[in-house]
Amino acid sequence: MIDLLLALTLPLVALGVLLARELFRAVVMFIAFGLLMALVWVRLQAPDLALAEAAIGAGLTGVLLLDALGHLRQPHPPGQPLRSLLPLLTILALVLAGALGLVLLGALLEPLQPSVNLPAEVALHIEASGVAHPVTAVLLAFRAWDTLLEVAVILVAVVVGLALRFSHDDAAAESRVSSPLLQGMLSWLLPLMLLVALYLLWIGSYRSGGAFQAAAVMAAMLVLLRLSGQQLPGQNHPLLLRAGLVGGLGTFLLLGSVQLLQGGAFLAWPEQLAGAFILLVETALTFSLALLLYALFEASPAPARKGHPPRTGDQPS
Amino acid sequence: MTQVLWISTLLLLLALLLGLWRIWAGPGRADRMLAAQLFGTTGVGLLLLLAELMQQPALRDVALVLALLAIMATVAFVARTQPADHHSEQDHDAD
Amino acid sequence: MMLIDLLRALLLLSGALFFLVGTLGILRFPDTPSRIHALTKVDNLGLGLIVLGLLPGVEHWPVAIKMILIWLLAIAASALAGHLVVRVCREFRPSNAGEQQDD
Repeated sequence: MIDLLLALTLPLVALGVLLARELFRAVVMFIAFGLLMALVWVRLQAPDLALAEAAIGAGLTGVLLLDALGHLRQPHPPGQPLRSLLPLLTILALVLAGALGLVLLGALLEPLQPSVNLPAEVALHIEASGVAHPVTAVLLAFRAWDTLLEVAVILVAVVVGLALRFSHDDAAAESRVSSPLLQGMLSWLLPLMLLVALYLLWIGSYRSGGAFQAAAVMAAMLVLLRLSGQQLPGQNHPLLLRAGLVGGLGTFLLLGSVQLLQGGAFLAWPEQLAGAFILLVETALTFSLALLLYALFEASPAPARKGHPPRTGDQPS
Repeated sequence: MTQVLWISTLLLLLALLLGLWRIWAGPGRADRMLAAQLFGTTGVGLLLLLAELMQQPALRDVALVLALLAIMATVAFVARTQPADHHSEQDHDAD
Repeated sequence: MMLIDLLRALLLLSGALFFLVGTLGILRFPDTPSRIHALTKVDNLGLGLIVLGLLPGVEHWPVAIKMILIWLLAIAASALAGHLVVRVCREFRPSNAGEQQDD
């Protein structure tokens, strides 16, 4: 019954996101969609994904989209140069979607191979991985390559984002909330967020949790700090920021090459120290990913912020 | 006990789905935001119930993260999509 | 044992009922401030009752603390949300009258 309701509602909400004329409605629907998606992951027995979806979908994506909406409304007149291309674009989109659909259909119709029972395989080898949680073992031991490249992709995306942002600085679009209640609440909410992030990082070794989820919570903390108008320590040191951005990937590569020196394989952890290595990589990844996710949000790092003195007294009281 | 848990879960899910209507219909942005906030709280309740029902303690962590981040969207909404218009703010002094 | 179960059932069901009532409030109340009222009162009570009802079922006491913490967080979040949203409403409606908001 619950599953049926969820299964019926999820596509409806997705449709709602797509059909909403007004962008704001679409954004809020999308936030709701994230939460429903998390519930669906829960019902599918995938608490790790539910955790990631709750942190990224319900927390960060909504903020990013609302932020983008705020930037959109500011300087641009509502001109639509693309209007004349619309039929063409519609056809193109339909063709692409159709092709993708056909490919997926083909994959569905493909006779199932007598496949390997992956969960059993993981359970068999989990001793060797150095961690007790199967998902973490897959992400950082058995399929560490995938995770490494994933982090690299995020890094590239953020670098591109930062490059674009340097070029047109619209710090003017930034406004902050100033409310004594918010400030007061943040003084205990933010430390709590940091604590929860570290907790998620730590429990990742034996149950749902891990670097990505912890990073999302930590990034949310940074974003909240910025939204409430605080300056971050080290915000004015672009070098520091860049070091933080690549730090996670760097640590991953560095520790992954340790075995290489001794003639082993890349990304193979030394047997005795596997657990410690994984924890080290996860910790570095957490901080680095948090900065990466935060950098996606941050309008432009320090240099472009000259005409914007810190702490303009915008306290409306 | 299990039945009671299921019924409560179902009722909460029903509340969740009803709340969707307010998100869709609005009419104002504030209304949508409020409905989303309610959506989050209901989601937290659902996750706690499901944690017990499905014997999945990890779901409590999901609920914790959700509760922790519930305020994010509203703060972003107030900070960003309503560009705090200082001129209008001076007229009637918030707080 | 039976009594505890009965109590739990009562707590859980009334909690769920409060959620429904709160949602109805969000749906039926005519203007934004009264909807804020529905949000900040009812769902906190609902979540509180549900947490109370679930407490006897947890394995370890730290888990119970975590659940209470979740409840406190939810209260704080919706109180803050109500506060912030009502400020936006006031800014956008200088005439402090009229049911419909601009959009």
